[in-house]
Amino acid sequence: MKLDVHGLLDEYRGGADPRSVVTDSLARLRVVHDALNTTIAFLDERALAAAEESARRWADGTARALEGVPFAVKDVIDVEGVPTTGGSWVSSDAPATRSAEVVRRLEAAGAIAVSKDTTTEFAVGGPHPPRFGTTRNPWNPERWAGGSSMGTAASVAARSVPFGLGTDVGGSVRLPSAWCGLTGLKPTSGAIPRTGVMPLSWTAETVGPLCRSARDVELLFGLLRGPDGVDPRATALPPFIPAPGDDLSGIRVAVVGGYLTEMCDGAVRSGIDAMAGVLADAGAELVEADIPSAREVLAIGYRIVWVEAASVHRVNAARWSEYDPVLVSRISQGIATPAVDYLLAQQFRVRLQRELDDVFARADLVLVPTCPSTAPRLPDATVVVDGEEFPLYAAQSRSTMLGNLTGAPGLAVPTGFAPDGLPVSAQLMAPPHGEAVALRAARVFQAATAHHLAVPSPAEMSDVSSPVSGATPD
Amino acid sequence: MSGNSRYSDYCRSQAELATRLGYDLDDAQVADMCAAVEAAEPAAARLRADPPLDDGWPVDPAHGDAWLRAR
Repeated sequence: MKLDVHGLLDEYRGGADPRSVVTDSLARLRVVHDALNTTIAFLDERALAAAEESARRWADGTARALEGVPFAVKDVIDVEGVPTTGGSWVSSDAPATRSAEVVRRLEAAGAIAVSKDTTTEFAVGGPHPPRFGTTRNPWNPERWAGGSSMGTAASVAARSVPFGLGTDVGGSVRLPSAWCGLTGLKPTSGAIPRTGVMPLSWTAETVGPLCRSARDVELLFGLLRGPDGVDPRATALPPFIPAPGDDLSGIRVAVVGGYLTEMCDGAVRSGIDAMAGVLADAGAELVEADIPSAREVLAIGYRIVWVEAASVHRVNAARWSEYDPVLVSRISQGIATPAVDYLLAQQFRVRLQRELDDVFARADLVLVPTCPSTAPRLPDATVVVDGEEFPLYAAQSRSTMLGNLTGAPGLAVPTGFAPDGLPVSAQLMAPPHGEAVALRAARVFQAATAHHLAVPSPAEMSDVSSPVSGATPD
Repeated sequence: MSGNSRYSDYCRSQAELATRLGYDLDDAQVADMCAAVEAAEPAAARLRADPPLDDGWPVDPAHGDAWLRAR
C-alpha cells in the first residue's frame, strides 16, 4: 500500500481489484500492528463486503470518488457495527448503531473502513493508555507515534492504508502527522461535522484526515466538509475551491517568530526555512509577523479543554479510578477551575483572533513549526530540543493549540528529517475557511520536494533496538 | 497551598468541591489536581489581569465562534 489515494485510484482505473487491495491492506495492518501496536479492531467482514461492491462498481462504470480506497479510523469515531472504545476500559463494548457523519460521507464516496485504531485514552490521556498500550513510531520504534491519533498515524505512515481519520483538540491530528512524516489537517472549527465522534472539548475539538500528500488532503477535505444538520457548530460554509497550478504569485506567507520558534529544534527550524524558500521560489512573498499573545495560548487553551473535558467525563465520574492516571491528572484541573476563569479564557479567544486578524490582513498564510521537536522518546515521552530534554506537555502543543483556540485551520506538512532520523514538520495556518490556500501552498511544496514520499523500512520498523534513520528519496 | 503535606487544607477543600460536583476522586487524584491547578495559577493570574477588550465591557465569551462565520 505504498500509493497515496490518488495513486491508488489511478491503479483502479488501470484495472486493479479492490478485493485484493483491501485484503492486502488488512494483512499489512496485522503485520504493522504486531510491530507497532496500531490497531484495536480489524474490520475484515464489513471491509471485504464493501470491496465486493467496489469491484462491481469499477467493473460496471459506476465507481465513486473514493471507490475501493481503504482507510483507518481512530477509535473515538463511530463505525456502525463496531464498538467505539476510546481506548478505555470504561467504555461499553456495544457496537455503534450508526457510523459517524465523517465515516458515512467517506463510505458514501466508496471508501472502505478497515480498522479502528489506538488512541490515548479518550484522546486526552498519556502515551501509555492502560487498556491497549502505546503505539510505536514506524520511523523508530523507540519513539512514540502519536498523541493522540497514534494508531491512525502509524498505520498510514507504515503503508497499511493510504489515509485515516483522526481528531484534533490541541494538535492530535497534526502532531502525530508531524512525528510520522504525514500531511494532516485540522480544519476550520465547524467545517467538518463531529456527529458520531466522542466529545472532549466543544470549543477546541475537530475531526481531520491524516494523509501521505496534500493532494489527498485536498480531495478528502472537499468530501468531508459541510453541515450535517446535527452538529450545531457545523454551519453553512463558503465554497471550497482548490486552486490548481504551481504559481504562488500573490500569496503572502507570514513567517512568525517569537514564542512559537524560541523553543524549536534546529532541524525543525531548518525545515521551516526550506519550506519558506520553496514557497518564495514559487512566487510567494514572505513577510514577518508576530502574535503577541501566542505565549499564553497553551495554558489558556488547556484551561478551556480541561473544564470542558471534566464536564464531558462527568458521565463516568464514579469510575475515574479506572482511567489512565495521566488523563485524570489533566482533566481534573477542570473541576477546580472557577467559572469566571473559564469565561475569561473564552474571551481570550477573541483577543487572539484579533491578533490573527492583524496578521492575516498582511498575509494569506502563517508558517510556524508543527512541533518543536521530533517524536517523543519511549517510555517517558520526553522530547529533545537542541540537545535539551523537555517533558512532553511542555513542548507538544505550543503552536498547534493556536488553531484550536481560534478555530483557524492548520496543515502539518513534512519538511525532511532531523539528524536522529525522524521526520520534522511545518504547519501552514490560514484564516477560517482558508484551507484551499494552505493546501495549494503545500501541494506546490510537495511538487518540488520528496519528503512526503519517504517510506519507513519494514525491517527497521520491527526492531525496537534499531537506530532507524529516515531519508528523503531522490 | 501551604505546609509540607501533599494533602493540605487546600486539597481538602478541593476534594470537597469535587465531591459536591459529583466526582469521585481518591486522595492521590485530588493531590494531582491541586498540584496542576497550582502550576496553572500564574497563567490564570495573567488572564485575570487582562484589561477588557475595547476598553469597555468584556465581549460575549461566545463571540469566538462569530469569527468562524464572519468570513
